[in-house]
Parts: sequence; C-alpha cells; structure tokens
Amino acid sequence: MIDLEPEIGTGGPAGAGVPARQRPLEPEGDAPDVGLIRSEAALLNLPEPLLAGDEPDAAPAPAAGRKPAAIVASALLPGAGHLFYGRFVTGLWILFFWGVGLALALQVRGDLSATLKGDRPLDHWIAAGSLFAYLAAVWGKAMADVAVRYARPPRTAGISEWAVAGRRFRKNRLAMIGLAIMTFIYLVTLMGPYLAPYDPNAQDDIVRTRYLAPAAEHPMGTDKFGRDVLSRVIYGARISLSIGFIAVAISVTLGTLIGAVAGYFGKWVDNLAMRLVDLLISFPRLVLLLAIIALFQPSIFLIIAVLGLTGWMGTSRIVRGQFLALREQEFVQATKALGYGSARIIFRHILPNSMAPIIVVATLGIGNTILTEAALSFLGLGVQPPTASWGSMVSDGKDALINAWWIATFPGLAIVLTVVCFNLLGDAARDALDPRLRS
Amino acid sequence: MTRGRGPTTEPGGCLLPLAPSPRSSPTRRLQLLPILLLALACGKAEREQPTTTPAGEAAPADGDRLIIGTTADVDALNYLTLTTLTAQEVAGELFWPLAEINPDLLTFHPGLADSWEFSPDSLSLTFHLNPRITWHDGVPLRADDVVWSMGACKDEKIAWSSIRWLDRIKNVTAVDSLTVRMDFTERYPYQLMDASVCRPTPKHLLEKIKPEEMRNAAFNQNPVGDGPFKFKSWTAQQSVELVANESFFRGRPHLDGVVWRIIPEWTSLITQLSNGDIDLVTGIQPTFYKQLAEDPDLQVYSAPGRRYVYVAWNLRDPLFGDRNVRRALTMAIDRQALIDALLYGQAKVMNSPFPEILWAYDPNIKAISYDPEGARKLLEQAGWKDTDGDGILDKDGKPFRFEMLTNADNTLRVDITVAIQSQLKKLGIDARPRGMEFVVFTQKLQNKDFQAAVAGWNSQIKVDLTDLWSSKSIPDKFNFISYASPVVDSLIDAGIAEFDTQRAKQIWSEAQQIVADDAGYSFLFEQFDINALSKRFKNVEMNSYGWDYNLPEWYVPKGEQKY
Amino acid sequence: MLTFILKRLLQAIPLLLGVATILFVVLHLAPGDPTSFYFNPDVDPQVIQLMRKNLGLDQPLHVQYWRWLTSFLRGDFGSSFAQHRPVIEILKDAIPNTLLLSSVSMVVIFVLGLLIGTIQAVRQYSLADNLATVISFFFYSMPGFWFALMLVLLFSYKFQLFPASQMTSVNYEYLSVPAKLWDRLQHILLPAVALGIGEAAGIARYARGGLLEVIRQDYIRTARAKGLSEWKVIFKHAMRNALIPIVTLFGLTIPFLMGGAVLIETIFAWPGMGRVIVTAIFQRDYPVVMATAFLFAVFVVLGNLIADVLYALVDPRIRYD
Repeated sequence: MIDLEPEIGTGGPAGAGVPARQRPLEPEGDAPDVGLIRSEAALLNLPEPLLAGDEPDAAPAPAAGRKPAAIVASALLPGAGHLFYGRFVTGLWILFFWGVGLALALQVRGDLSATLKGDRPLDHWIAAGSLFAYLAAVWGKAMADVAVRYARPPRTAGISEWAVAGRRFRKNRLAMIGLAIMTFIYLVTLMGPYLAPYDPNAQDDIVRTRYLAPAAEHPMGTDKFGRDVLSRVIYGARISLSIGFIAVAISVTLGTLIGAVAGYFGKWVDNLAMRLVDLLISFPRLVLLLAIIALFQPSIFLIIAVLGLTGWMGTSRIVRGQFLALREQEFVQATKALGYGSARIIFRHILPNSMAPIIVVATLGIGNTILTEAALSFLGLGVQPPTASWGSMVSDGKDALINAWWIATFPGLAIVLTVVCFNLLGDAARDALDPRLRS
Repeated sequence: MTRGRGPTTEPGGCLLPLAPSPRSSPTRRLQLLPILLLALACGKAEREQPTTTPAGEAAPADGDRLIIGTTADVDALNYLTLTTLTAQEVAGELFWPLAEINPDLLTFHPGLADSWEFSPDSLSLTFHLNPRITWHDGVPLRADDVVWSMGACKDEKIAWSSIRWLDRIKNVTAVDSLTVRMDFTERYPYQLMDASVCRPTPKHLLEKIKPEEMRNAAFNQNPVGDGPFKFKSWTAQQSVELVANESFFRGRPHLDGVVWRIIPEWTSLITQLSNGDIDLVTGIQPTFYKQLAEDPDLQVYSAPGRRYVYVAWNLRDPLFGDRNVRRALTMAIDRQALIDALLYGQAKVMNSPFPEILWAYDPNIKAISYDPEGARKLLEQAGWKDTDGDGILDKDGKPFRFEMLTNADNTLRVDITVAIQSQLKKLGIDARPRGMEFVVFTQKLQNKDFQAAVAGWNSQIKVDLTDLWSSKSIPDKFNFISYASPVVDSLIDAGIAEFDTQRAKQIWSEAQQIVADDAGYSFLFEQFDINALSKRFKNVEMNSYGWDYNLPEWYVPKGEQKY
Repeated sequence: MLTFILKRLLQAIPLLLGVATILFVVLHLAPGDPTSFYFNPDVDPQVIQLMRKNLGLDQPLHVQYWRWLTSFLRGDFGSSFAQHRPVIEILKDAIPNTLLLSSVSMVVIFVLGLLIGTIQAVRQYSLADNLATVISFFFYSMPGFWFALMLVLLFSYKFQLFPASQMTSVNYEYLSVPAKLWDRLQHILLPAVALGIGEAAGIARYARGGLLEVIRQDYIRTARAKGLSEWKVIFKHAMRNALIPIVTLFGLTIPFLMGGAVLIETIFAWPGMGRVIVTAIFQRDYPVVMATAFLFAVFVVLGNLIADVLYALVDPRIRYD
C-alpha cells in the first residue's frame, strides 16, 4: 500500500513525515474553522468527548497553595484570578468587561444617585438595574470560574439532553458570536438612558443642527430635526426589540397551545384547529395587518398584539406534528394508563419533549417580527412619532436618502445586525437540538 | 411667441367682472381665482409676455416631448368623472373651457366661445361658439354638446364633483347650432365663473351611456376631447401619453407630446429628474429644493400657491373652547422656524384665512406673532399651571395633553406635528402626534372626532369663507372645528353678494381679522409650489394657477430636442 | 395523483370562501370610506351621499355581502371605486407585470441559491464556504425595502448604472428589438435582485445542508469509488436527491412573491399586484381589495398544492392516494 510507504520527496508542510492516513486524526481545534463547521466536522469524524467534560473541568486540580490568592484576586478584581492559573484570554476579557462596566457606572454616577433617590422615570430604573446586573454577572462569572476550578470535581456522571445541546451550541462559534452581539445589543438597549449621548427627541435650532453628516459629535449624524441618529438608534432598539420579543412570546404561546390541543385530542378538535390554521395562513398578512391597524389606532400595543395574534400558525403546525408523533409513544400511553389528566400529560410529559422545535421557531420568529414591524413602519402605520423605532427611522430617512444617506442606513444596519444574530442563534439552536445531527 | 392664447382684449360688452377658471387644469377651474373686480371692469386684458424667451435663443420649433414624473396615478380621463390631481392635469390639456382666465386675474379671454354677453337684467348669459372647433375625432363641436355637457354636469347620478357650482344656473338652451344661452336664478358676482366651470364633453360619444354607468364608461380610459393635446395611451400605474392635436383651433402646440410617468417613490422620482430621464416634476417636497436649484440642467420655480397648512383646534373640546388658550397655542408655535426647518424657507407665514394670491387678502390685519412668554401668561390667566411639577401644565387636576392627528402618508404634515410637539413641550403642553390613513383621518374630521389636527387646504379661487367659517357649515360641511360667530356669518353673507370690489374688500378684511383673532385654526404657512423643469424647454410661464399655464406654447429649440 | 389533486382543490373551496368572508367583514368594519377622497369644499356632502348610494355603500352589511358574493360567484369582480373601471381589467394589467418580476426573481433565487449552495457544499469549510455562509446570513436577515433603497442609492443615484424605477424607459417604443430587451433587462434587474436576494440566501442554506447530508450517503461514496468525476457525482447523483426539499420551497415561494413584493414594487414603481392591493386598501376600494386578496389566497393554496405534487414527482417514495 502506498499509504504505508514513507513520504516521497520533500513533503509538504502539512504532511511532513506523517503518514497520510493519520492526518484526519489531527486535532480539530487548531484549524481556522468557523463555528458551525466545527460541530459538523466533529460529527463526521470525531466523537465529541461528551462524558469527559470541558477542558477547564477536566484539568487536574492545581496546587492547593495558589487557591486563596486566585479567589481573593477574583473577588477584588474579576478576571485577575484567571491570570493566576494561566487563562489569560478569558481573564483579560473579564477584566475588560468589568472595566467597561465600572467606567460607565462612574460616568453616570450622578444619574445613578438621582435614580436611587427616585426622581427619574422608569427607564432610568431599568438602566440602573441592568448596570448592576451586568456588573454582578461579570463578577459572578469570574468567581464561578475560579470556584469551579478549585472546588468542584470534574463531572463524570451522565449528562442531560439539554446539557448535550448546550455543549453543541457552545461549540458553534458563529452562534456564540451572535449571542455575544445579541447580549451587547440588549445591554445597550436596557442602559439606553446612560449610553445615548443626546435626548432622542430633542430638537434645538433645527436649521443649524439638521442633516449633519456623521462626525465625532454625532457618530451617526443627525436627522431632519437635528436629532442625534445614534441616540435614536439606541432608543429605537427598545421598541423594535420589545415588539419582536413580546409579539413572538404571544404567537409562540398561542401556537403551542393550539397545536398541542389539536395534536393531543385529534379528531374534530384537530380538524377544526387545522382548518383555522389553513384559513389564516391563506390570508394576505399585510391586508389583515393594515385592516386591523386601521380598525383601531396605531400604537405600540396594538402592533404587538396584531403581530402576535397573526403569527402563530406555523408554530401550531409544528407542535401539532410533534404531539401527533409523541402521543402514541409508550411513555405517554403509560401516563394515560396511570390516569393522569390531559392537562398534566400535555404540559408535564409531552410538551417538554417538543420544546426543541418551539425554541427554534421562536428564535427565528423574533427576527421575522422585527422585519415585519419595520415594514409596517415603512408604510407609516407603525409606532407613532416622535418615538423612534428602527423601521420608522428608515422610513423617515428614505426621502432624504440622496442628501443624507446616514439617516436610513444606520437603523437599517441595526435591523440587519439584530436579525442576523437571531437567525444565527435560531440556526445554531436547530443544529444543537436536532437529534438526527447528534453522533 | 404668443400663439395660442388668443386675442388679448376683452371681447364684447361690459361683462361682469368675474372671469372663469384659471386656465388649464380643471382643478384650477374648480377653484377659480377670485377675480373680482372693479365694478367697471370690462376691461382690457393685458397678457403678460411670456417670461422665458431670452433674446438670441433659437426660434420656436415644433417637436420633442415633455416627460412629467408624478407620484399619483390617473383615475379616469373623463372630465365628468375624474378625481385625482394627475387626472385633472391631463384632462386639462384634453378638454378646453368656453372662456379662459387671463394672467392678470382681472379679465378673461375666449376659449371655445369666441365671445359672450349678458342680458340687460344680467340673468342670462349667451356664449357664441367658435365654429372651427372640432373634437379629436373630427366631429365639430356644436351648441348641443355644450347643452348636453351642462346637463351631465348637473346630473346627480353622475355626481360630477363640482355639481353645486351649477345650482344657480336654471336652464341651458341652444339658441342655434353655435349659440348657447344660460339662464340664472339670480344676479351675483360669480355668474361667468360658474357658467364656464363645466368644460364641454362630446355628446355624440357619451349620450348613450346611462348616467349611473358613466363612472365605468370605456370613454374614461379612452377620452376624446377638444384641447391642444389628444389622448394616445394610458397604461395603469405606469404612464399616460398625449400627442399634439394638429387641428387645435389655435394651431398645434409646439411639443409633439406630453407623457406623465407614475413613480410613487420620491427618491426614485428625484433620481430620475437628476438623470434627465424625466423633464418635469411639480409640487416637489421642499427637502429637494436646494439640490435641484443647484442642478445646472434644471430650471426651478418656487412661488406662493394656493396650498396652506394649519392646525385645527376642535372648539367643542374642553381644552380648546377658550379663545385665549387657542391664541396662546398659536403664539407658542414658531411658524417661521417651521418654515426654515421643514420647508427650507419655501413658504410664507400665514395669518389670514385667505392666501395672499386672493384679491381679498388683507396684508394689514393684526397678526398673532410668535411670543412664548405671552403664551405662558395667557395660559396662566386661563388657569393652566404646572402645579404638580411633572413639567406639564395642569388645571383642575387635568394635564394639558391632547392628540394631534394628521394623515401619515403626508410626510410634511407628520413632520409638522413632530416639530410642534417639541415646541409646545417647552411650554409644558403635551401634544401627541398621531398619524393615520387619509381615509380614516378625514372621517374623524367629518365626525368631529378629534382634538387637534394638522391639515391643509388648497384654497378656492372664489373669495368665500362660507364652507370653512360659516356656522351654516358646521352640521355637514367643512367647518369641522365648529366655529360659530354671528358677526362672521353676516360678514360672509354680505361679502359674497357685494359687487363693488372696494366695499367687498373692506367686508372681507373685517371678517379676516375676526377669524384670525379667534384662532380656530392656528394658520401655519402658505406653501410655495416648487416645480423643476429641464432647461431645454423655452417660453415657459408658470404661475399661481399652475405649471401648465401656457403648456401649448412651450418649445424646445431644434438643436436641443431629445425625443 | 389526480384524485389527490382534485380532492385538495375541492377542500380549497370552503377555505377560500372563508377567507373572502372574513376579509369582507374586516374591511367593511375598518373606519374610512371610499368616498373620503372627496373631502373637499368643492364637493358637496350631498354629492358624497349620492356616490355612496351609487356604490351601494348605504346598504346594510349583509346586503352588500350578498350582492358581492353572488356577482363574485358568477365571475364578476365588480368595478373599482377609485379607478372607475372593471376590476378584471386592473388585474389584467397588473398580473403579467407581477408574474414577470416574480419569475425573474425566481430565476435569481434558484439559480443563485443553488449555485452558491452547491459550491459551499462541495468546497465545505473553504474560505468561500465560510464567506458565503456569513454573507447569506446577512442577506437573509435584511429588510427587503431597506436593501432596495440601498440599491437605488448606490446603483441608480451614485453610479447611475441602472434606472431607479419603472419597467421601461421613456423612449422604449422607439428602440430596436434587442435594445428593447436590454432596456427591460436593465429595468428589471434591481427590483428582481431586491425581491429575490433574501430568498436566494435561504435557498443557498438549504441547498448546502441538503447536499451535505446526501454527500455522506453510501451511494455517493460508491459513485466516487467508481471513479466518476466530482462534478458528475454532485450533479447527477447528489443533486437529484438534495433537490427534494428545495423543490417544495418552489411552491411555497409563489405566494410570497405574489404578495411580498408590495414594498419593492412601490420603491421601484413596478406596476404590479402589490401596488394595486396597497393602494386599494388605502383608498378603501373594496372590490379591488377583495379580488386581489382572493387571488392571493388562491396562490397560497395552489402553491401548497404545487409543492406537494412536485414533492411526489421528484421523490418516487412519496405517493398520494
């Protein structure tokens, strides 16, 4: 066999001196791969060390003498502890996040104390809470890492389905990037009042301040009223994100309930529910949305309600499918034999086993809903001015596109970025939760 | 080049001074200019010389086409059934009026009718038709056509949009094949205007259509008129094309054709104008003014027109029942800042219910000017103070908070609500903008189901305040703010019956002052009409009647012709 | 198969009637009225009452519904309130334009999507694959109207490469035949791309996933072992099976293209169904809204049916009885 012969010639750098057959066994981690791929690759070639635990967990316990120093250091300065035992990258990141949080807190200490004294509106409370939660999370993460490192024995017992999925998810580097950006966007949104450089609705001398191109003073320029586009993008995020989030929560809950009931009970219930789904799916959604919005007055609550109530059909079909399959399985038959009530069987036994597709649908749905809200705002029927939402900002900027490209471009980019993140997460969740893709 | 507009002196005897319609477009005709006049105004009509024929330019030449970009489609091209502005523009070139108004606003000259005269008691008006006029299909236009058209315009089943203008025309009869007599129920200043508001349509093509079928007649998509341009084609949502009428009674227009292209998105529209794909865009948003004015290939017109914008306060709402509160709100709005900020200076602050192009407009009435301090004091006197320290004025425990409606499709109006919201906020007034669909907005106004609204009117050319300010118009007409002042009511009645211009002016002046003082509307501004046209078109005269005032006389010198 | 199709079509009838009925009620309940556009001092309120009577709007809702339903079932879509012409003519004008735009988009979607997906699958983990993954995520997540605006800004305004709107140039009719074709192509490119790019990105992801799954199968290994060229393996063996799920997407894309083009058609002034329906809603032009919405529902039903039929055609394992 040629394979067994020593390499002939100079040999490329890749294979120098190594029999070709061994190459597939080279460690995966060093390749410059991108998330998704890695887990797929793993699934093709290498069984993942499911039971062995992650690298830090599996590491041998370090010398006992360094333990207190690391913990104390971490407690005082999160991330410092990591440096003690050589996890420099993680340590520096934690240090960085801690620093950013502290700097922000310092910057807005006046605001913070005013908020605590109670003379600031609700959004400042939320911002203050988020800031503290953020700092607590960074500190907690640092401490937990250190504690795990020194205290908890490596796990060797069995791992739940969810833990497996979580591990697969964490291996997906693109998804982790998406998650990081998502977290960042949410943090910025929650702490909006501290981060936005200007009042998003403030108008000054319009003629002097309008249509300023992006520059140091206004990183994203100003719009036709001289309002700061960056501040409006930050504040607009609240509307767009909450609409996406709440509307999807409504539609997924509704879809799950209807799908579950239809799938579990079958017969005429199923028939009725599915005909309803067929009916609603055949509707031109835009017509329905426009008609309903005209019926009432456009407001953020109406838009959330309408988007939520018209978006559940896909979920219910999927859930029904799951239920149809699951209800015939032995464990369900067993619970029935035990005489459990329908509600208990549905919610305690079948539903947890159908969560995977629901999570995927929900994640992807948020992105879609944000896009739909943007389209409604583009038609002038979204959130009312002067409140900013990303969609209405694009709509506002479209007439000035030629002279002031930045007004429509930045909120558009914000939409794209957010939706990309949700899609990445949804995609990764699907990969992680799909048992067929599991080795 | 003065071909086209006909004789410049007034025909016939002393006519009542009201000229009919402004020229070419039906809207304009509907909203006729106020041409009131000197009682003895049988006058001489001076025609302004065309404005843009610089010496040394190439001679007028036939040929080339004008490509107009517009955002709204045409609905019907039948003069009797059309409703959209674009349709009015197009039909204005297809159908010609009996008598045309002159640019001096005082007199008028013959159109389809060579001449006309009133009977001694002024109760009937006789038109003598030009015998050379034919419809675009070659059939001659005769008195029967005019009589039939008048009947159609008055037919309730057709529901022609200006039907009420004809209420005081009792009979229309054909004296002979070229003479038409119209009998009026009474003598009043606007007889000639009303008599020529209904443009003739071809009887031989329309008489067989049942009135209730008129709105769906095939003629609407394939009209036959008598104007300087003939219908060529209409592709829904894309374009309407007209071609020169070689046998127009004043000779063919210079241009070979006019094309309206329908482009609903402003960005695309302006892009194509800059590229030269489109030659003319009218009613341009002020945002684009500067950019277009700097374009070396375009001639840009910007002048006061008939459009004005106002904030309407619902007088039945407890917040706005108090005149001083409304005055304070008007004082609190910095209208010049709105103009500078949102209209790039292309508008003028308005103080009177009449725009300045109307003859009855009085520039000397006492205006309510921008004065936030004064507004604060007035509000305080009226009991509005910020007692709970939340930054919003309150009275009897109720905050000064209201919704300000407008139609969301109109960006300018939405912007105005946003700017006013910000200005009023500084005084502690919480105005909440609310945009809605046009159809919903108008329904709310009609039902008086609103607190405040930013809206606009396209002023009539007839000088009259009845529809908007008379208490008669509260129940089912356009006085949706429910403004009622007995003094104004009687001034209006006196004004519209007054033949003497000087006395009429005084009456209207008094009415304007009261309406302005009562601040039922906070008048904001008169918007300029902004039109941008390719420089290759010469002899262009645009004025407050419209961009198409002398369209048949436009030409493109031979060397510059493009199509 | 034929009975299956027939059965599905029969089932569709009550469904479509239900859609039409609900829509009728919702539309008529919504505030606003087709005569609102006459809100103008030039138009007497009496004239408006008259128009309402002429249009039959003064009747009670059930009478209006019955009248609409009976004429609708006879195949008469009625007359547009706003455009004063039969709805059928409006549809006749708009449908071919929408079909043109959507078929070109469809070509963009499937050719581009399959091509990119295939390249990604064949060169898995290559730079091109990773790059395409990231880029397709971006296009997939982009609001179509925003992307369209960016296209206009860049390609029409900044570089002046393509016209910003409409189907043809002003001087179209004076052009030679090849020039006409070129003119049309230029006009359709931007809207077709704006409409199709998001879907194309979706298809690319499906194609990549599907192909990768197939490539792992034993018969592909066999084909390779036989010494077939890689491209032959991919196109002759792998592609056929990977196409199955994608083909069903074809059917499901149809209604999206018919109705989803609303904003794109507005931005590019494309005179198609999307613009008809939105304008009609804003004008409360009930007959037009009803007819277009009904057609849309028909497309959804047909699209689903086509998806199922195609599924059976490409996959012999699937049988409908």
